[in-house]
Amino acid sequence: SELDLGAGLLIRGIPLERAALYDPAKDFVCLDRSAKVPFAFVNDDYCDCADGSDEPGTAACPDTTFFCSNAGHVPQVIPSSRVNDGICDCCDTSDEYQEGSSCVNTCSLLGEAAREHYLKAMREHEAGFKSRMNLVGEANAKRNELEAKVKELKALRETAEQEMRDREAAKKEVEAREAAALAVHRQREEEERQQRAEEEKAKREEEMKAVWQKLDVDVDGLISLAEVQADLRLDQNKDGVVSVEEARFFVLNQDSMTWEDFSRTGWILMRPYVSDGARKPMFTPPEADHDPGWLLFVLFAVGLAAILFLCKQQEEEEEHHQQQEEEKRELGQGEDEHAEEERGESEEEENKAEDFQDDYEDEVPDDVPEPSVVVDHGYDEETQLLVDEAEKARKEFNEADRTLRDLEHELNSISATLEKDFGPEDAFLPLEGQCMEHTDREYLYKICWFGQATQKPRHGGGETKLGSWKAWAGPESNPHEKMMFENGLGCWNGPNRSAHVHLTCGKENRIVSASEPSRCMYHFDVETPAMCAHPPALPEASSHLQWHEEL
Amino acid sequence: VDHSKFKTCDQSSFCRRNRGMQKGMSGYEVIQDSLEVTDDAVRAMLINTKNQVEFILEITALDKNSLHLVINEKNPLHPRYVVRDALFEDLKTIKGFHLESKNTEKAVVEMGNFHPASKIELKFKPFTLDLYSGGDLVISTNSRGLFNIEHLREKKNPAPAVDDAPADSEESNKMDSDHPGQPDEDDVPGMWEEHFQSHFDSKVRGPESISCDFSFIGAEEVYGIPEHADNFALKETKSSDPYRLYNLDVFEYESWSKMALYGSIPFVVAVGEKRSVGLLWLNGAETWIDVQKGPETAVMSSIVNLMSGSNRRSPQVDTHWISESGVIDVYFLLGPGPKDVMSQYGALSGNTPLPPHFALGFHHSRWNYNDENDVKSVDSRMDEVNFPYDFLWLDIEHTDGKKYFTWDAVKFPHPKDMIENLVSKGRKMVTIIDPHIKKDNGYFVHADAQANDLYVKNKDGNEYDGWCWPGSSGYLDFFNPKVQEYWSQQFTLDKYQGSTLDLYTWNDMNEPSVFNGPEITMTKDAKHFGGWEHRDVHNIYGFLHVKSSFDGHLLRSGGKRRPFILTRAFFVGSQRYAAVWTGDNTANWDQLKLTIPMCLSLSISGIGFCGADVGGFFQNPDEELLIRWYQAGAFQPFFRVHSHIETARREPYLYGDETRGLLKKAVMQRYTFMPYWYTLFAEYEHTGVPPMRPLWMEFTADGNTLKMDDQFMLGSALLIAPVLDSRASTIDIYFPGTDAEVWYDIDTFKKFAKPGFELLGVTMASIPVYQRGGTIVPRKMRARRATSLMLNDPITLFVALDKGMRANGTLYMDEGDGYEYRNGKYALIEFSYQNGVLNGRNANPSGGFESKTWLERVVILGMKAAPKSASIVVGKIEEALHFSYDIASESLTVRKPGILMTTSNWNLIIG
Repeated sequence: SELDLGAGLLIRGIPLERAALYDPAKDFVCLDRSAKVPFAFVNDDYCDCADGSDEPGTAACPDTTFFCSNAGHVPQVIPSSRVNDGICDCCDTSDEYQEGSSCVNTCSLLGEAAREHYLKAMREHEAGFKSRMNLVGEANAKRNELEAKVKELKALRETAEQEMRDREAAKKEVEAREAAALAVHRQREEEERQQRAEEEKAKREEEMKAVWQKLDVDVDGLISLAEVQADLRLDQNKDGVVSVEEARFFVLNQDSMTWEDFSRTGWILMRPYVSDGARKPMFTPPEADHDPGWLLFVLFAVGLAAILFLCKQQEEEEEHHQQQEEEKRELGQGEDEHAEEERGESEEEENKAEDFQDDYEDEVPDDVPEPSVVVDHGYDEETQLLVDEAEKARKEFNEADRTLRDLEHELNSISATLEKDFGPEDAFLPLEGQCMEHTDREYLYKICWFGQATQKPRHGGGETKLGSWKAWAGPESNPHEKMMFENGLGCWNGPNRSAHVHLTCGKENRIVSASEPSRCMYHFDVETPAMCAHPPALPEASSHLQWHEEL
Repeated sequence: VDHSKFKTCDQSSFCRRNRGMQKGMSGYEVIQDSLEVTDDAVRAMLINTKNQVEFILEITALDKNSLHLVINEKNPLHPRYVVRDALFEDLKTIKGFHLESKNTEKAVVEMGNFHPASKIELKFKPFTLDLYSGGDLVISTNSRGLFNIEHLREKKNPAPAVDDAPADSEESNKMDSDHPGQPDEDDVPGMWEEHFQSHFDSKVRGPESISCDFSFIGAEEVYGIPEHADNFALKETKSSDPYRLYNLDVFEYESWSKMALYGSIPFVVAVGEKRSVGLLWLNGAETWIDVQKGPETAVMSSIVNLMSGSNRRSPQVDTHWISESGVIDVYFLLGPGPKDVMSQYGALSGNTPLPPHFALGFHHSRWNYNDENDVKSVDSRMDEVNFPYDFLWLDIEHTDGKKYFTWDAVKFPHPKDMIENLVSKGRKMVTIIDPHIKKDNGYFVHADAQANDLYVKNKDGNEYDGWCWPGSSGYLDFFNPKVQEYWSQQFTLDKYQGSTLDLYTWNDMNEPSVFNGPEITMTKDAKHFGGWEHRDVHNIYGFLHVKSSFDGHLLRSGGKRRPFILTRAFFVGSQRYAAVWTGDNTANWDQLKLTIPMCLSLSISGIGFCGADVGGFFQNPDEELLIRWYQAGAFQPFFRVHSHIETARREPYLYGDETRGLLKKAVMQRYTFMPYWYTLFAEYEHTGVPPMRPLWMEFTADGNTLKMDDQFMLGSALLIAPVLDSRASTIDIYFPGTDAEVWYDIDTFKKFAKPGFELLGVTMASIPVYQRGGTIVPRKMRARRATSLMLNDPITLFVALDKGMRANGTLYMDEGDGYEYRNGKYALIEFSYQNGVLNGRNANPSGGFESKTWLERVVILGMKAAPKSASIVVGKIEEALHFSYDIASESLTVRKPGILMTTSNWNLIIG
C-alpha cells in the first residue's frame, strides 16, 4: 500500500510532511497512543487504532480523512469513506487505487482551469479591495461629518433648551395673569348672567300679575270659571265662546284656581293665548321671515366651518408628524426602544398600532398650537389683550419646544447611526440607504442596505416586502458575511416573509442570485466590495511551487 | 381534519342498514339436498327464507392451510363484481375434501391435506360455517347471524322514496307480485339514491351490499385492515363507528382514529395463545368492520368457568364485515403460527419482490426542490458535511403545469444532466407521477386519452371531470387493459423525455384524490371499463395505477432493472409493485408514535416495504422531534424525509454540528445494517414474513407483547425500541420471551438476560436496539455517501451467543439490481456458531454470483472468557488470526479473517 516516489516511502493518504510519523522500521504506535501494532498493519485495510491513524490511506476507519496531493492542482482532504468507493474524488486518482478503477488523472486540466478561475477571482478581489478602501475612506469622512454634526447639534440643543425654558417661563407667567383676568372676567359674566335671570324672572312675574289682575275681575283672589269664560282670548277653538270645558282646562279642571295654582300651572296653559310677547300657539310651524331654524342653521354652518378648519390644521400637523416618523424609520431608528420593539411585531400589527396612535392623536393633539381663529368671547379690552399675549407666549413656547425636539430627533438618529455596526472599518457605512436590484424570470428584487428587501412581479402587481434589516447573522468568526431581513409581509398559513443575504467579496454591489428555498424564506447572494477586507490571499496550495511560478 | 367532509357509518346507507341488523335475524339456510362434497370442493345452495332468493356457496382449498369461500347470487339480475387482479396470478388449489358425516342439522367435511388436519362444519339452519384446526374451533362464520346479501332487484315504479321519506310498503307489495319468488324487503331510504353534503349518488342498481360476521375463537387480539392512524391491536367498536376501508385523501389526518385513510387491505390476523389465523375479505368497495371482544355468551361461560374452577374465560374476537357491493369472497388462512399466516397471505396476494438494493437506503425529499440549481446545491451541501443519502425526490412542482411526464422548461431545462450528476455519486432520483391528467389540449397524455377513450366516465357516459392539482382533470381508467398498457408505455425513455433508468417513480393522489368530489374522491356512480361503477372498484383504483407504473419500469429497462415505486393508495397485492408510505402525516410526537402501529399493520397485511414521512409532512418539527424521527425511521423499512411546501427546509446540513451529528449517526446506523436489511427483504420475497414484525410474531407465547405499539422486531434478530417521547431521559424497554432469552445492546454490548420491563437511561444519541442471543447479524461498518457504493465493502459479523453458546444467521448477496438472482445468481451464506466454531457456508455455491466482499471482522458477544487462539480454516489451510477480548463487555473481536464471503465453506475456530 505504499508508493515509492523516489523521495522515500510515502504512506498513502497523508501529506509528505507527516510521513515521518510512519516509520516502517518500527512497530506503529497509534497517534492517540491507543495501541501499538506491527507496521504491516498500517494501511492494511483494517482499523486498529481508535483514532484511525493506522489507516490514513484506506476506508477502514470511520470519521477519518484521506489526503491527496493532486500534483498540478490543489491538494485535497476527503473523508476516508470516499476511498475506493468507485467515485473519482481526487484528480490525481489516488483515492481510487483498487483494481478495476477507471479514474484518470485530471489534475493538470483542473489545475489550469482553477488557476484561470483563481486569477480572475483575484483580479475581482483586487478591484473589490480597492473599492473597499474608497468605502472605508468615505465611511471615515461620513463618520467624521456625522460626529461634527452631533457636536453642532448638541450646541444647538443647548441653545434650544434654554430658549424653550425661557419661553416656558414666559408662557407660565403670562398664563398666570391671563388666568387671573379670565377668572375676573368669568365672575363678572356670572354676575351679569344672574342679574339677567333675576330681571327675566321679575319681568315674567309682572306679566303674570297683569294677566291675573285682568282675569280676576271680582278681585276675590280666585279665578273662577266665569271669569275665564269672560276673556275671549281664551277661546281655544275660536267659536266665539269660551265654553265651560275650555275654561275648565285653564283652571285645572276645578271650579276656580288660586294664585298659587295660576302661577305654577294655569299661567303656563293660558300664556300662549294671553301673553303679549307670544300671541301665537307654542309650537307654530316655522315661517320664512323669522324662523328660529334659520338661526340654528347659521350657527351650525359657522361651527362646521370652524371644525373643518381645526381638522385641516390637525391633518397638516399629522402629515408633518408622519413625515418625521418615516424619516426616522428610514434611518432605522425608533423614537424609543418600545417603538423599535413594536416594529418587531408583524407589519399588520405595526400598522394597527400606528393607526391607533393616529386616532389617539386625533383626540388629544400633542403639540398642536391653539387655533389662531379669533373667537369673540366678549372679553373686555384689557382681558383680550392678556389673552392675546398668552396666546403668543404659548405659540412661541411650542415653537421652541418643537425646535428642541426636532434637534433631539436628529441627534438620536445620527447617534444611532454612529452606534450601528458597519463592520470592520465601517466599510458598510457608506452603503446605508443605497439599494440594489436584481431581476429574474418572475420578479424584480430590491435590497436596500440596512433598509428593506422587496419583491415585485415583473408582469404587474404590487411590491411585497420581504423584510426589514434586522441584524448581522453570520457565524461568530465572520458575523458580517450574512444579513437578516425580517418581518416581511405575512404569508398565508405561514410565517412572515424573511430573507437571508449572504455577502461575498466582489468589485461592485450586486445581487448575484435570489431564491426562495422554503416558502416565504428568501435567500440572496450578494457581492460587495465591503467584503473584500484583505488583499487577495493565495489559495491553500500556496506551498506548491507551480503556484509561485504562475504568480 | 374536517370530520364533516367524511361519512360516518350512519351517513353511508348500506352501513346503516347492515349495522342495524338484528343478530340472528338474517334467515339464511343451507338447502340440505344441495350439498355436494367432491375431492376439490364443497358446494351447496343457500336460501334467504324471507324472500326465497337463492345463492351458491363454494369452498375450495389452497396450498397450504387456506380455504376459499365464495357465496354469490344464483341468478343475479346482472353480474356482481368479483375482484380480479389483486391476487397472485398462479393460485394453486389443492384437493382432499372428504365428507365425514352428514345429518339433518349439519355436514362435517375433513380437509386431510392440511397441517394440522382441518374440519369444516356446515350447519344448515341457520347457515353457519365453523372451521376447526387440529380439533379446535378457530373461525365461526355467521354464528351471530349477521350474514346478508342484498340481492339485485328492479327499481320500482314510481321512483322510490328519497332519502328521508318513509318507504311505501304498499308499493313493495305490488312489486312482489310482479316478481314472484323474489319478494323484496321493504325499501328503506338510501337504497336507490343517496345524498352527502352537496353530492348526489344515483344508485341505479339499487341496494347490493353484503355483510357477514366472523368470530375468531381463542383469539386474544385481531390486527390488520390498514390504513388507520390508530393502535396496532384493533379496538372494540361498540361505542364508536366501525373501522372503515375506503381509500381517501384525508387532509391533516388525526392521531388515534378509525377514519379511513389512503389505502385498504381487508385482511386481519387473529392471534391467540395457541394459534394465529388470517382472514381476507376480498372486496374493492367501501367496507366497514366492527370489532368486539367476545364471546357474547360471556356470562354463561363465566358461570361455567366458575363451576369448573377456572377464572379464565376462553378468549374470542368477533368481527362484522360490511361492503357496499360485490360477492362474499373470503380466504381463511389457518396458520397455525403467525409466520405461517404471513406465508399463506403471501402465497395468496403475492410477496414483495426484492427491491433494488439502494432503495433500502436513505431518501431525502421535499415539496419541492425548486430547480436544477437547488438540486445541485442540496446534493453538494450534503457532501460538504459528508451526510450520506441515496435518493433525491421531486414533487409536483417539477412538472410543466402539473402535467406528469413533463418538466418545467425553465426550472428543469436539463433533467438528464441533473440525474446524471446524482448518479455519478451513486445516487438516484424520483419524480412524482399522479393519475389525474390535466385537461389541456396541448398535453399529449390528455390528447391520447381523448383520442383513445381512456378516461373514466361519469354516470351519463361522458368524460368524468374532477379537480386536482392541475385544475380540471381527467382520470385514466386503469381498469381498461388498454389504459394499463398505454400508461406503462409512457415510462419508456423515448417517451418520458428527460428520464433515465435511474429515475424512479412516486405515485401519489391515487385514491383517487378529487378535490371537488364527495369525500375528496371520485363519485361512486362514475363508470369504469366493463360497465362497473366506481363504487364496485374504488379501493382497487390505486392498485392498478401502480401496477401499470411497475409494468412501465420493466418495459423501459427491458426487464433488466428492478422497479422502485412508492404509492400512497394501496389494496391487496400492492406489495407486488410498490412501497407504501403513510401519507401526509404531521410533525408531532403522536404521529411519530403512530409510525410503528401503522407500519406494523401494513407489514402483516402484505406491505412490508413501509415508511412514514420522517419529521412529519405538515408543520415543522423541532430538532428533538426530527432527531427522534430519524432514529425511529432508520429502523423502519422505507426511510424518507419529506415535508410540505409551506414548511421550513430541513436538510440536515441546515442544523448545527450537534443535531446534524445525531441525524447522521442515525443514517449511518441504517447503512451499517444494509446487509441485514437486504437479507431480510430477500427472505421476505420467499417467505412472506415481513422485515418489520410485531413482537408476537417472534414470541408467540408471550401475551404481554400483544398490545405493544412502541417496540418491534426487525427480522428475528433485532429488537427495536426507539425513543418516542419528548425530553425522555429513560425508556421502559420490554424484553420479550422467557428466561431462555438473552439480549445485547448493539452499541455497548451490554447483556440483558431477564425477560420483562427494564427502565433504561437514554440520551439524545440513544437508539435502543438489542440483538437477540442466538442470532448472527451481518453488517458493513464502513458507511459511505450512498449505499450503492457499499456493495463490495467487507462484512462484520455480530455473533450474539444464546445461553447455550450458540448462534445462527444468514447473509444474502446479489448484484443489488436486476433479475439475475432469479436465475440463481446470488449467494446465501448460512452462519452457525457452536462449540467455539463459526461455520460459514454458501447455500448456493453454483449460482455463479461473485463478489469482492470479504469478511473484515467477527465480533462475538457473550463470550465469558478470553480465548487462547483464533484461526480461519478453508479446506486444509488454516491461518491464525489476531483477536482482542474485552472483559467488561464480554466481547471478542477477531481481526480480519479476510476470506471472500462467497467462499463455499469455512470455519472460524476459537481456541
